[in-house]
Amino acid sequence: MISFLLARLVGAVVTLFFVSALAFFATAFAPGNPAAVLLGNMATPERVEAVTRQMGLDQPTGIRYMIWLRETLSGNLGTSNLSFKPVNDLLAAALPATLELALASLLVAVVIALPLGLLVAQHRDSWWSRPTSALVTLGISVPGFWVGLILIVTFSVWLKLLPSAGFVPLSRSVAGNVRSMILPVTTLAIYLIPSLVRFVRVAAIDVLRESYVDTARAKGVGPWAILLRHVAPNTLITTITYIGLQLGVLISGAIVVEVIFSIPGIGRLGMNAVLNRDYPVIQGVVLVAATGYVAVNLLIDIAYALIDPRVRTG
Amino acid sequence: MTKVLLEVDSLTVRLGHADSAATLVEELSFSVAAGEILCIVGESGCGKTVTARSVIGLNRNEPGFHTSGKIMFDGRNLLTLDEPSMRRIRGARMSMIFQDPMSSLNPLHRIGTQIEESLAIHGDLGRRERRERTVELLSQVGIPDARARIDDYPHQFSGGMRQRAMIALALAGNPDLLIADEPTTALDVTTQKQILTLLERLRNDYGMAVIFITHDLGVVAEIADRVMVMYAGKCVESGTVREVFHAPQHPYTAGLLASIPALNRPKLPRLQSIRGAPPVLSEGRPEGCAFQPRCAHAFDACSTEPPMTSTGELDHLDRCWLLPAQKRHLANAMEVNA
Repeated sequence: MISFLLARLVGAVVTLFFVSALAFFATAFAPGNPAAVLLGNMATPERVEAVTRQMGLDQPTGIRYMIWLRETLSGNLGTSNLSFKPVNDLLAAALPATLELALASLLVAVVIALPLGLLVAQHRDSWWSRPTSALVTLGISVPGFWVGLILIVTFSVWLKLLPSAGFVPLSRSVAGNVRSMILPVTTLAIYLIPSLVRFVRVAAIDVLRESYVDTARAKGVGPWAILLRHVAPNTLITTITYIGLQLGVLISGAIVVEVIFSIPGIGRLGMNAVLNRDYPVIQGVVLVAATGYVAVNLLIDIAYALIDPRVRTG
Repeated sequence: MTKVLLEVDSLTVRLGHADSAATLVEELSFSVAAGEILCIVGESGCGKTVTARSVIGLNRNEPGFHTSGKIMFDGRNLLTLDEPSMRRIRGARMSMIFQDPMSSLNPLHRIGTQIEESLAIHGDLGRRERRERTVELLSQVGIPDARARIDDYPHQFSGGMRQRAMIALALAGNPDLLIADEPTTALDVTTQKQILTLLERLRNDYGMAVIFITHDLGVVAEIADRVMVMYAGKCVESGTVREVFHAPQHPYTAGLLASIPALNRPKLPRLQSIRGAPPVLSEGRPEGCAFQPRCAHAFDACSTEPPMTSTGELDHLDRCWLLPAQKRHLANAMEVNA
């Protein structure tokens, strides 16, 4: 168990190292000069060159990478080319909103998709199972931003129940925060649920065909107990892995939702940074997203070991 | 004869919808007396497993299965019994063990927990008593140091030990009938022998009846009181092991027996086999006797439905048109030939 986790931890560090290199070189080799963007199209070539030198962009890429790596490892992600604020501060300010959005959506999605997938699998031959699955498949083909817009039109514009934009931090008002997050979380959850339901359904049908489910039936266990005690945990093993893989979808979905609902999160920060060639911020956002991805997958490995004794003791 | 425990009458199991339905088991009738070991033998797909699963009601909720006939157990017809009552019978009055002990235990639950689950459903033992009883059951089936192994997970057990644990689980409710679906097929020969000995001992100790499904005639000779040979969803011959092995009345049984090597028969350059393959039931069954296309003795009458006849003794039945004299010849031919 310990060696299993240590191996995963080492793997995570290596992954992060490569991601950081990718984040740096992808921006370093991108065409266009940040100094030129910063100065606008009225700047003289001399001025652009001066600022380029001032920003250290005239150094060879290798040297710039060494400097960048040293600073990053010591916890300094540089300053924004745009606002001249430390990237650390920008990220720290944006992180809570994104974390809240992502975690809440994931939680809502899992809480809805897991039971739904299990039920659809157990009653896969009843009259309502097929229409439900069809509806879910329809959900996969609906883009997330469209769902968000429909929700805004319905609940904000038409019913005037919920705010359409603006984020209230948890520290300022709990009620306000919840109110401001209902629509974004719903949008992102709806984006995640369909594929999750489909996955759970298929995984659960596989489990239902397992011989140990027959054993449970043959010893007189009722259908609900079979579903909860025998099918659900075994379905969870594969589903958890799938959720880990879906994090990428969650992150990209979060960017879209943050933009639609004007939530000052990592996604919107990254989006603006890309539009303005604000390289230090882009690198910071990529690093944070990658760290989140790696950290969650590490957590999933731990959860895996908790659920499956074969991983723990094998 | 002792009291009849299970009586299956004209069991027919069809799979699929309306016209395209395949008849997996057709008009099957047999009975099991209390404390008796009945072996059901036949090739893969002949309906052995479907029959067993119908008896314990495992395929009654499976989509597409249509079951008719009667399965009388303890004076009640299991086919018309509602699901909650059926659940009280499963695991308590009758239980089942499966072919692959690697997959028939839940990998995420401890061995003890899986046995205790059955005890919790069917008894009123407290938590502590259930645990004690589980240790007792595990020792009974020959798990060494059961108290220390009770909290192991299935993957920490060997194949033979898992099958023992499955048997302990099946015994938890003190069943009158144990259905064993090829319980030794996935095990190596030594373990196989141990499991057979165990089952026989348990039958003797508890007077539990056993329906033992196998395609291994060696196993049948070892353990069975009576044997039923199935072919294409029908019983083609049934009788005591002695009768069926020494005087097979149906060409199929004779063919099966001739296809196994035996030390007490002269050695042939090659083993006998039955030519052809059994019919694919989803494509409809042959007219008349299903074995007729493969049978060396087939004649005109075989293309109509063959009868269920008794040769002399009432409890040795077979489904073949051949005359008694020809059938005797069949048995003799097998011994000379093979």
